[in-house]
Amino acid sequence: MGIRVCDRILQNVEKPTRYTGNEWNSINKNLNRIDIRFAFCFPDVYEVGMSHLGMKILYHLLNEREDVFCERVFAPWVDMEAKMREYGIPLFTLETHDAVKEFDFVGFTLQYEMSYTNIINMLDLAGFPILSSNRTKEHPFVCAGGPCAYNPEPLADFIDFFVVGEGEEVINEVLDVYLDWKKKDLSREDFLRSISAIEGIYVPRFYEVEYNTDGTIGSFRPVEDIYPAKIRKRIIKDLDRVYYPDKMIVPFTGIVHDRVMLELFRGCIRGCRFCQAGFIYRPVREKTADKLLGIAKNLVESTGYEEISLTSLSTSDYTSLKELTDGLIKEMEPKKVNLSLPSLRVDSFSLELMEKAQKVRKSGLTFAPEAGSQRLRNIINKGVTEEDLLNSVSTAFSGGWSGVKLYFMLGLPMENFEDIEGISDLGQKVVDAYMRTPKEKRGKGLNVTVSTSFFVPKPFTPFQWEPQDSMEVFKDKQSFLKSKIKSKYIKYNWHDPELSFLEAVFSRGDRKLSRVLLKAFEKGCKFDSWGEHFKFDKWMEAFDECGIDPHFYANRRRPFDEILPWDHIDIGISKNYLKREYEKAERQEVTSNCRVNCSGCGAAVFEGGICLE
Amino acid sequence: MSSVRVKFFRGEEVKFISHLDLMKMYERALRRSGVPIAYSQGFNPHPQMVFGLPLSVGVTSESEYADFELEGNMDPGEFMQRLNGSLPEGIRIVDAAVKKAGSNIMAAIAGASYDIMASTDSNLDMEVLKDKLRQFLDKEEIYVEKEAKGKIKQINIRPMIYNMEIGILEFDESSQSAPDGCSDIKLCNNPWLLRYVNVIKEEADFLKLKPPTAILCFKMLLAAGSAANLKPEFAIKAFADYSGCRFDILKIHRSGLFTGDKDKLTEPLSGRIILSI
Repeated sequence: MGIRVCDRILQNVEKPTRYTGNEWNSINKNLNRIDIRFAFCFPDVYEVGMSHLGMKILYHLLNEREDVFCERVFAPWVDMEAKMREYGIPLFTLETHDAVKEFDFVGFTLQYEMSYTNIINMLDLAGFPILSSNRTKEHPFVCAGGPCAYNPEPLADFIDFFVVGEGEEVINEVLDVYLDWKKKDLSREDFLRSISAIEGIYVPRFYEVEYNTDGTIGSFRPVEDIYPAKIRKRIIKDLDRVYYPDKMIVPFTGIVHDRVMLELFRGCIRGCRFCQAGFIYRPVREKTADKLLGIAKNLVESTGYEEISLTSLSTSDYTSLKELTDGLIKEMEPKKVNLSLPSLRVDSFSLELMEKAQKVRKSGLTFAPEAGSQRLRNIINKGVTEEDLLNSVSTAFSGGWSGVKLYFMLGLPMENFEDIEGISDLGQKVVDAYMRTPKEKRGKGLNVTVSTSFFVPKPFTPFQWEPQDSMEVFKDKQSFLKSKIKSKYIKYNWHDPELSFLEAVFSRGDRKLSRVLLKAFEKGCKFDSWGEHFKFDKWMEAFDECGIDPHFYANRRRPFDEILPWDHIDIGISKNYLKREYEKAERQEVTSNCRVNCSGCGAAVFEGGICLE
Repeated sequence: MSSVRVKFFRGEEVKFISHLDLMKMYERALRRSGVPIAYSQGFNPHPQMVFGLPLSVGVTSESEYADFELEGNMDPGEFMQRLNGSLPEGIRIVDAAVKKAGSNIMAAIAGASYDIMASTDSNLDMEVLKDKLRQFLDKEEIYVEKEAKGKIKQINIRPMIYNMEIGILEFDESSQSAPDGCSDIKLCNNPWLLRYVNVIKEEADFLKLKPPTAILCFKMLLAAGSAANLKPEFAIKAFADYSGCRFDILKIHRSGLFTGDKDKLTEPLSGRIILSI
């Protein structure tokens, strides 16, 4: 047993069960029979990290191996961190409370850019070198995966290797190479060299970048020919045959998603042009309803959870949704287990389903038209018409619903002020639709919420070359919309633009930004996505002191022929396709979804899922 | 329909769980175990279970109680065994019996006993401290300040203290093993406390703090439940104010929970009379 989590400390921090471990279905192993210790780190607090499906899958998958013990690590909240630093307690895992620095691997999952400073802070707390280049044989290998690993460059200085794509197979391949390496007396570099041959593994130190005088990338290439010029992401071809845990850890305290999570499929057929997830997870691959019913039954039995939720990017697109939900309701009703539905495309089927499954207080339905006009919705390929939306809300109002949430983005490419006015018009039309619904049918107390976020251009989308609006323009657009919303039934929620600006910098950043991250960490930046800890002025100081202009990354239009920092990552979808999609956006042309028609994006190289249908 | 009353432990592993989270934990354990628990009717069905008296965060207990309503009949022994198989480490049902007619456990709670470890800055002789405690308990009224709904109220806690004792737990730095004795064995032979002495030693060592040289032990029986309820911290605080000593509470452990009324406290499962005034 390593570091003990002292009662004296736990009694003086918020939510001590964040640190104690020992939850139902958590795993303990005899360390004498273990060859590899893997510390799976989520760079945010327990409640957030424990809600992440990828961690649940990989935790149990790794622990299936007898020679591996995978343990969990979360970012200690600031009160706990202060105590740890005061008493010199290094970052520890929940399972054994051992110091992370004693592990073979320290793996981070990258879910959002604004968790990057937490990664550095956790490495610092762990007490071994933050920079990859300073680590020696006695230190763990630090790896990272997840959606942000598709543009790994801003973290290149800190991470020894990245896992690009779905991790279930590739992680085991890496560990096998490690076992072999451990037996021989070879260098750290030797191990990294061996795994660079595995598809999906990217070792940043084996690549060199040259920059043009204007700061753009002049060349990006492997330092030796033995390293792949392109790193192709990994996918699981057949989701029915891949490992899915029959257990999930049941926390002692409430977490964000405190229920059984059932993953219906990966990928999305829609191809909304702003949405990174819609491209990087292609091709769409489904699990069969039969398989899912079996998994659900096991998980309810092993966890005792009172609720199951369906998770995927667009649940309404699941081909056997009726069969699955009928089966789940039948199985779960006697066990008093609730089926929690994500925001579905509203039609008569989904309303009926919601009535049946959720026994909801008919309060809120969520819609995401994303843009206020048909013109702009065509540009972003959001295949929703005003008619669809108004039909859906009318149906819902007649069914007794009285609350509607509408989500939009401000600052989408080619947006003008008429599009923004369209947002308030749409809100008003929703109010009108309620008023037209007979009083005896509709629910009481109409409540329409309009929320806007700011568009962040992302790698591997048709908008990857687009500039983000400046923060001043964002603020103007926001106040313009605010002035247009007149109805007392409409509540308007908005964000501050600073965080979206930084997201735009880091989502499309290059290696030079590693220095900025380190500087921001040194200035005390952490938990940036937690409003109360976000220190925008410190960030600006960090850019300034590093001599790096953040607007170069966020607000500059990049020419099509520019070498992008993530060009060496291959997600199957061709750059040409993304360019074609951009040009269609300019012509306000929509692209049909994968099920209607293949648009030839390139994901068919993976020979899986919908591309084979 | 039948009803089972159980007695369970809450160990060090699970002492930081809030009361609400404990109930959620039981709800899930019941579903995992497959025991025929009855659910409430309505939109949001909940298992029919009632707990004795919430335990403050950080407190361990060897004496928690809960009532469970079952669909149909199940032998209490089997119920206990099945549910134990689905409970996390640190929570253990140690006794179960068919619940007799009458009010549920929550409504019936009337008293609770605690064993408390504390360090002190006082270098008073134990006999002097004991004398002070005697004088303290001889008072007819003992007022403490309590904040409720933003207002500070003076509350007389004397009627809620049924019994209170103090003793010393020797803490010998030179010996590596658990302390083998204390001046008043009767007062601190509770293994839950003795085990914790080592924890305190290790923690002091690990955090590089000066270990306490003397550890006191309080034992008390207090009013508990909906009619009158006194937390042990208040009793110690009042005694500290009275005696002019400072006590740092190191551990609170609930050693018993009783039903009945203040004239006759009984053990909730057996109905055995514990205290009769």
